[in-house]
Amino acid sequence: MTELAAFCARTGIDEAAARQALSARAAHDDSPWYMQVVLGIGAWITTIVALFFAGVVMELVFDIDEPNLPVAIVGAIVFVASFWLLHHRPEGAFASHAAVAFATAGTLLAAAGVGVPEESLWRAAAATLPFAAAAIWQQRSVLLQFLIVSIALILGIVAAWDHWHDPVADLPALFIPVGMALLLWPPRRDVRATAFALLIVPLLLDIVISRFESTWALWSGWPARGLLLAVFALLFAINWRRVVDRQGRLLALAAAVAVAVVVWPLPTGASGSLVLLTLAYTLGSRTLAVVGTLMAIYFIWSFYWDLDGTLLTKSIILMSVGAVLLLCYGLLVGTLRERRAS
Amino acid sequence: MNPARPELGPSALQALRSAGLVSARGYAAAVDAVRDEAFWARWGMRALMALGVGQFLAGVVFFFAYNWNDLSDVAKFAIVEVALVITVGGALLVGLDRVFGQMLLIAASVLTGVLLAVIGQVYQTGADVFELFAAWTVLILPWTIISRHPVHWLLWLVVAETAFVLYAEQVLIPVREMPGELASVIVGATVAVALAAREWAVQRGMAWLAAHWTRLVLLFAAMAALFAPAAAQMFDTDNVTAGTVCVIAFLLAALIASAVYWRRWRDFPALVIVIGFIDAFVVCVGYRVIDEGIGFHLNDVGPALSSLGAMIVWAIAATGTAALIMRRLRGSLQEMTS
Repeated sequence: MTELAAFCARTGIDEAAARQALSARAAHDDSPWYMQVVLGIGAWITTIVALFFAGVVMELVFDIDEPNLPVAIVGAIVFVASFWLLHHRPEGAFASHAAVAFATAGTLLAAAGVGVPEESLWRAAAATLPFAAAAIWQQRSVLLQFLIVSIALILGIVAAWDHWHDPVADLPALFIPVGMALLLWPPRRDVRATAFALLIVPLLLDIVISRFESTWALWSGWPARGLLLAVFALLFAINWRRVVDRQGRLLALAAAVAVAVVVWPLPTGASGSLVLLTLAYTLGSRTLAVVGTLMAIYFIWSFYWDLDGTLLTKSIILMSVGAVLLLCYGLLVGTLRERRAS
Repeated sequence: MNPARPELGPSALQALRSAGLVSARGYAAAVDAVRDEAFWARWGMRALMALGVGQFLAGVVFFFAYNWNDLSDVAKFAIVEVALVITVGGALLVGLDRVFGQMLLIAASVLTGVLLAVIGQVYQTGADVFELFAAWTVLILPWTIISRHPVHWLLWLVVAETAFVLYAEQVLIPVREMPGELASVIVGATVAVALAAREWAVQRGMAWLAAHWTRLVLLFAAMAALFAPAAAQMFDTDNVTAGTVCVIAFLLAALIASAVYWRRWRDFPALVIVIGFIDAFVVCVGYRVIDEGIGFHLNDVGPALSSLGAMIVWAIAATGTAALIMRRLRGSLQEMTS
């Protein structure tokens, strides 16, 4: 932790104004991520029960067999009412939990009401966009922002999967740069939950989709790899100014080339998890470090079950990638020793 | 946080950004100013090594998997044994006071399991799988002790627990008619004992075990293993005695963990784990109570609406209370720190 006074002196920020901003933060939702996970699971459970309740009302009271436009309107009303509750009682633990759960249920009802009559996942996904925009706009609940943006992403990706089977595994490469940009150059409105959803949800969906069908073909998906390489280049450029001496910069350059070699042959999910790890390093985010590590372990393990390449090809890829990374590690250790000795 | 000399980490930067004190372009520089450079440099090095070793070893495993059926029995043994000798020799050469040496010994422990599997495959010994895991547990124990690395102990614990679970599934439950739920309780209890041993060892100055994640991983595993059978009792009760034991074991563990991590160590992440499991258990209890009282008859409008409505209220009450407790605990801990 850095002292506020030292930070302000270094960055040229007025200390009194910084103190005021930090004390105002206490009024906002700044719970740590693991606490948000517990509350998020609780909200999902409540949402599921609420959806069952809505289903019973729909079928047994109003005799509606399938979600339709009136159901979508009811969903929107529930969402607006939840928003109102959250706006007026943001500090109430029970009120805010109920508001998050009902707003999520309202979004899902609206999506079902629009998408089911037309049998269109695209319409359902599009229906969630205004709700996602509202969830990003509000600044009362980080959890609500994450859940609603996640729903919009899930529906969008599933709709894409329904239309195009093969490139769906590469979709994380489209969302990762956006999430990364939101974290590196954040707007004044707090959109970190949206950024995390963009970084994590597509990769998680990639895992789910890969269980149903083989979506990755060796050496294909080069646009996705190109995008991820561009992301790496950007992260490298940001970290470049941290290295001051010539030897260190040469080494960093070698590491960048190594990363490029690593990203190119790996499936998008594995490369995406490496981006998360690099971003965790750049931002000093332990949350991203934990998620990136778990994803990296999963994607390397799941590479075994990939049916598009032979085990021999995959073993050569993994051994080469591992050797390049170990070479970088050895070079770094050697340089650090030299520095200490000098 | 001392109000007179406040400190800030990366998460506080958003507040400064929202107030317009940090620009979007200057955000990365602001992160540099608050980021723990030494920690992240160390983390980066370790991540690089772990990724390199992990991918290389995975590649080796894939390579042998590809050729496995074509290899002679002698070749199979030779490959695994040579790898075993190299890793153990390498660990001794590098030294167990260095991370790389400890990693090599962990790799040797994994290879011991592979060797036992090859023995079973080649000789078709007819032994039960739990015997393989039991032998593995015993054989790698000395290396685990001398390596003094938390990951090695975690690996050992996973192998030992797997041996017990397989023994329970293959012998205790079918032959001695032990209720299946109790196996999970025993797993949870033994992990809890391992957690207690970890706390005791850290108090005695074993700094290599002090990493916070070791506490959280063991606590989560113990609570999850105890929660599963206790929660299952709320959906289906066949054996009342075993069910009571499961519920009591879970509640006892939750009570002790709450007291220890609040009173003694003031560990908020650990408390969040405990509160999360208690919240989930309370939701399950609510389901049971409502099911017994009203019944989830989804085809009958009255009972369906009242039971689901009651369940919604119960779920909001449970998670709302959990949120309230977590907020208050966090507030108290922040006050104590300041």
